[in-house]
Amino acid sequence: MPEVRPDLSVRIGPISMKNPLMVASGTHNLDYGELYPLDILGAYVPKTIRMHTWPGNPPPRTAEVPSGVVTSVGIPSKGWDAFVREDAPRLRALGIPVILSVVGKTEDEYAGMAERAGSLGFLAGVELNLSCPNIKAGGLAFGSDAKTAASLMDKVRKATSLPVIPKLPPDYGRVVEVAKACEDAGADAIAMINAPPAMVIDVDTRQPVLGNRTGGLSGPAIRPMAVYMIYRVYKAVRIPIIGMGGACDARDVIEFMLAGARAVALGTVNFFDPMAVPRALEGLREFTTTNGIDDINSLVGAAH
Amino acid sequence: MVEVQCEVMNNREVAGGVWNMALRSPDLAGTARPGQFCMLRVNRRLDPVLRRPFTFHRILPDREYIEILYKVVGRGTDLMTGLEPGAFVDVLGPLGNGYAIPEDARTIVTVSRGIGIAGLVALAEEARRRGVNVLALASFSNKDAVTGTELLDYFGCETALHTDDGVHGGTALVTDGLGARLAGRQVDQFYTCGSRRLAMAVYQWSAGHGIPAQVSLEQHMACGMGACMGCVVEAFTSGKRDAKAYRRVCKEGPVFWAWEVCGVA
Ligand SMILES: Cc1cc2nc3c(=O)[nH]c(=O)nc-3n(C[C@H](O)[C@H](O)[C@H](O)COP(=O)(O)OP(=O)(O)OC[C@H]3O[C@@H](n4cnc5c(N)ncnc54)[C@H](O)[C@@H]3O)c2cc1C
Ligand SMILES: Cc1cc2nc3c(=O)[nH]c(=O)nc-3n(C[C@H](O)[C@H](O)[C@H](O)COP(=O)(O)O)c2cc1C
Ligand code: FES
Repeated sequence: MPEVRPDLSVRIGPISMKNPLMVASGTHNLDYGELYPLDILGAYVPKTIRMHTWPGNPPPRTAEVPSGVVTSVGIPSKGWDAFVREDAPRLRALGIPVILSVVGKTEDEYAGMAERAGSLGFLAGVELNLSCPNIKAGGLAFGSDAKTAASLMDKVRKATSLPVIPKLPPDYGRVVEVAKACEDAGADAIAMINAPPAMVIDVDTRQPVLGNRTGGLSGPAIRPMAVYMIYRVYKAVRIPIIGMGGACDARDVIEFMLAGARAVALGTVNFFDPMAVPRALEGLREFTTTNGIDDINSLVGAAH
Repeated sequence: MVEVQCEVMNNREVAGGVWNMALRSPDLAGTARPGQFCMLRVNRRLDPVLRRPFTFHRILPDREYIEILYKVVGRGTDLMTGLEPGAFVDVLGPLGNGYAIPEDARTIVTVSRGIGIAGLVALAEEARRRGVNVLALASFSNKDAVTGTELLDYFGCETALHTDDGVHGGTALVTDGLGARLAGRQVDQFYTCGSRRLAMAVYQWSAGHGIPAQVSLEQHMACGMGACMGCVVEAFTSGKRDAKAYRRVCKEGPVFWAWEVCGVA
């Protein structure tokens, strides 16, 4: 009897993916293509880019903690033009859906990049990194409240016909209302979670370890928080959720899907297990086969 | 670059708190260059969660193994001492840009402090293989910490040993007395590794004498692959001597020109 291949394909709004695996922005690069073919991924999300060049935060930028890392990189950027010249051709050549993550200091910067992203012609969508400070709102993150997020989402919606995916800050108190506000303002999907704010202090120097003093916690340490927040947002919105936050292997991916994620991004695991993507894909095939799951979509939200 | 399970062939203490680990890997031994490094997963469980970077101490393509020389400084390196022959470790490499030995080099000088000697031994081995003279200045805190110098002697390097406790009659700063030692000699290139202070001392001396210097830097690394942007240092980029920018030690380094990191705009 021919082997029955379980169907792993999913859709994030209009984006068709051959499997639910993605990489989280800022945790991967095209050099991983030396280790495995990158087109095994369902979709690719490169590091967030900015309109203008930006050096990023002073080192040290990483501090290891139990089951995770606290990082504060500050999204260094070579700016839009260099991105188009140097990175875009290589991303286009991947041959899988590429979702471009952008960040701005103002609504206009986000909208401007979303518009240009559409004109590049090959991108499958735009992810809005909403964890960065809105200078007009006194430095509060764009995703920190429903009104600010909706206003930005609305502006970006009008600037591009590409699918728009806001990536929410992991705020226990507000994440559900922010997600709903984004959905109402026309978001095609929600990505969550970004790294929760965190800090490490060196008891010998009595000073924060990171150059930026504070950072974000990522890796397996945050997985239960991510699962919880996705579980709650799934109840509240109809658009698909791209889940992330400490997922390391196929079982984690399935856990996120059971909570409500339709696609799942591997992030920090890429640092310590650079073969995590192919291993997770193999694991998903194995899990679905042995459990007789012929459509992986049947797992989405099944824990509710 | 590969991710491989390497068999531990040997893992033993070779000086006070310094261990040598031999890892079987035709892939790494066949492709690694002196000055490049690997990321070693010290524990299959997530404790510690990140891999640890180590430079190649010896690269032996014919015998299909590599060696690393490591100093026990914390949890990761402490766990590494428990790896016994026959165990397997997960290694990613070779990574980064190694040292370059100029085509026409006749004499090079390596300057190391403590465990910084690890990668310079690989460089010296390659240089000697190519018939290049190597003057190796190696400094250690005390005589129990001395390691690597026997190999340098074996390769036919001219080795000058300094220890802070003066047992070998040395002075505290390895660059002290450099002028006297190098008087009347034609030196083509300097190499150093590890400490910023040492890099600065070597830069100042070599720049003053118009001799290029390569320095290998260390920085905390999460990925080693250029992805996390975590391991940056401020450095000039070739052709841009006006302003320093953050450059990744794992990707643009770990070996830089001394002027790139130590020079001023
Ligand atoms: C490219 C590169 C090559 C290296 N090659 C060698 C080598 O050949 N031999 C060797 O002994 N060491 C080498 N190191 C340093 C080595 O990686 C660290 O000593 C090791 O990661 C410490 O791990 P740990 O868990 O034992 O210490 P931790 O518990 O993580 O830390 C203990 C102490 O070590 C310091 N430390 C931790 N990581 C680093 C790091 N990446 N760089 C500098 N200091 C660090 C910490 O600040 C702390 O003070 C290299 C580092 C780099 C970046
Ligand atoms: C070093 C580092 C850099 C990151 N850079 C970005 C970024 O540029 N844009 C973004 O939206 N998220 C960024 N993130 C957040 C991740 O995409 C992800 O949301 C978060 O780390 C949680 O997932 P994880 O635990 O699987 O890494 C970064 C995370 C890390 C650790
Ligand atoms: S260690 Fe991740 S970019 Fe260098």
